[in-house]
Order: sequence, then structure tokens, then C-alpha cells
Amino acid sequence: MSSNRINFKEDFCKSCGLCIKHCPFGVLEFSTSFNAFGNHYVKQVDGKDCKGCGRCYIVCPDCAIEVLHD
Amino acid sequence: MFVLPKSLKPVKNHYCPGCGHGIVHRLFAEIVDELGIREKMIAIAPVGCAVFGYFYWDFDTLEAAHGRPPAVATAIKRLMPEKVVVTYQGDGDLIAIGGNECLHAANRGENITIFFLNNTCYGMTGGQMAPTTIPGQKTTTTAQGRTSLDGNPIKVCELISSIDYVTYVARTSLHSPENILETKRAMKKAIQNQIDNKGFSLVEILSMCPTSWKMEPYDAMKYIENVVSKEFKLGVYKDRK
Ligand SMILES: Cc1ncc(C[n+]2csc(CCOP(=O)(O)OP(=O)(O)O)c2C)c(N)n1
Ligand code: SF4
Ligand code: SF4
Ligand code: SF4
Repeated sequence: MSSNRINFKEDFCKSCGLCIKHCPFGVLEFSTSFNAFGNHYVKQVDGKDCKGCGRCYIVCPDCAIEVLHD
Repeated sequence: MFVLPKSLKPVKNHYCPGCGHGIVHRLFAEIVDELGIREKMIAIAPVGCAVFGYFYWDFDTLEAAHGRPPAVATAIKRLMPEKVVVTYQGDGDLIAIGGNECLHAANRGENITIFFLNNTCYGMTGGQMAPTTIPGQKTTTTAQGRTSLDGNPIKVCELISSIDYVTYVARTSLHSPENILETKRAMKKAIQNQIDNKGFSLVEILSMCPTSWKMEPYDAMKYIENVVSKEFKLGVYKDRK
């Protein structure tokens, strides 16, 4: 089990996809569901471990991701 | 830990998907937290897409008329030298209508910090040509691409670094996580210079405007890497000791 936890702020996500493109480990994908603003928010791929590198946090223009090391 | 800074209000921003403003807003707030200067901060928002800076930064922020933040910053800093005074400006604000104010604040060596976000167009008003538009770049006012009749891009770092009283000038970019972290280092140094009474610092940040560029956000990052940063070379232009 990974000791890194991703805190998604689903309603802040605008589906720009920058975090998905910059995650080196393919941890992130768009949800098929919509958030309250009609965007396919980002979620963690089932079974993929987050390595805690923080690249998704760094590129996200919308403060929709935090990465916590437990 | 990658946790949002306290100096940023926990609200959703109004920017387009993939816009660089959101990233730079967060970097600014992270730096204010790290330097512990939240109670000393006075930021000045521009006219442009970042006009609502005060909705997002959780420190004192005011709004200046289009292009005038360096003049307003001059007054505030001279009257309240204990405050940390930072302007945040787009390229239309800083080098089109506000070219005069920026140039003369630099020439007076005012002890202020300028964050200058260059997205090669006027984002807020619909993507018109700015002084920084790339030759050949299509905008709503250069439908066939910018030609020599429209002038050549003004290189703010090259221009401002030629002024004797200027302390620090750097150009950075947002096109990758590494470049974003480099941007943060330059911004932090530009604020630290002011705290140390070293004088005028300006950081130019190449930023994505996916909406005006009519590009997907990731393609806009690649456009900076492959085109914009070739026209506007990254680096430290001046670092006066
Ligand atoms: C005195 C005045 N002239 C013109 C305008 C119209 N106007 C609003 S924003 C803007 C340009 C904004 O471009 P930029 O500074 O590059 O910021 P961006 O929106 O791209 O972040 C202009 C010309 C105005 N608000 N006030
Ligand atoms: S912290 Fe790194 S590994 Fe984890 S989701 Fe973000 S980019 Fe991917
Ligand atoms: S970078 Fe942020 S806004 Fe963009 S898709 Fe990822 S979480 Fe959503
Ligand atoms: S128009 Fe451009 S600069 Fe303005 S919010 Fe949209 S992407 Fe950002």
C-alpha cells in the first residue's frame, strides 16, 4: 500500500488534463462522472500507487489536487 | 507534502482551463507563507484577467488603473517602507498601456517587486495583439499573423535590465513542473531583494493562454517550450549584488 494520499477537490477541477499529462506514473485519469460544474474531474486510476512526487500539484492551475505523505 | 498555501483563499478561480494565472497565483501565495510576510504584504492587481487577484490572495491587495501598478506601488512603498509591495501584471498592462510607468519606476530604482505574466496577448478582452505577440502569431487583431507593420515583440527583460538602477531581472516559464519551480525560485528572490532593501526586481513569466491561442492546455505548454521561449529567451538578465 502506498503511503501517499491524493486529496482531490473535485469541484475545483476544470478537466484541463495537465496533471494527467505530467504524472510520470499514470496514476491519474478523468472520471466518467461530472462535477457540479459539468467537468469530468480527475481521479486516481484503480490499483495505481501514487509516488508522491507532487508534479500534479505543481502544474494544477486550479488548486484541485493536494498530495499528502501519510 | 504538497498542500495549498494559507495565503490563498480556498475558492474556485475564474480562469479558463489550463490558464497560467492560477499557477502563478498559487506560487505567489506559497512564497508569502514561506517568508512569513502575510501581514506585511500589499499586492497590486492589474487590469486584465488577473483583475480579481483580491478574490484569491488572502493578504492585502488593491487594484490600480490599467498599467499603473508600478506608480501605485511607488507611492505605497515610499509611504510605508515596512510593507512588501508587489505588482502582478499582464503584458498588455505592463508594456502596452503601462510601459511608461514600468520604465520610470525601474529607472528610479524603486524598492518594489514586479511579477510580469507574459502570455503574448490581451487575454481578458478577447485575445488581441500585445506588444509581446510573436511574429506570425494570429490574434483577433492580427488575423493573418503579426507582421513587421505591427512592430516586433518588446523584450521586457532585455530592456529593463539595461537600466542602471535595476537590481534583478529574470525570465522564467510555466511549461513544465521544473520550470514552474524555477519560476518560484525567481519570484521568491525578487521579494527577498525588496525585504533586503536591494531595489527594483522584475520577473517575467511566460504563461499559457489556451483560450486565445486556441489550443489544448498541454499543447499551450508545448507552444511555450517550442515557440514562445525561443523568441523570449529564459534566464537571469541582471543580478546586481
Ligand atoms: C484604460 C483602459 N484601456 C483599455 C482597457 C481594456 N482592457 C482591459 S484588459 C486589457 C488588456 C489585458 O491584457 P494583459 O495585460 O496582457 O492581461 P491578460 O488578460 O492577458 O492576463 C485591456 C486593453 C481598460 N480596461 N482600461
Ligand atoms: S504525486 Fe506524482 S505520482 Fe502521485 S499522482 Fe501526482 S504526479 Fe502522479
Ligand atoms: S490539473 Fe487540476 S484542473 Fe486540470 S485536470 Fe488536473 S486536477 Fe483538474
Ligand atoms: S483568456 Fe487567457 S489569460 Fe485570460 S483566463 Fe483565459 S486562458 Fe487565462
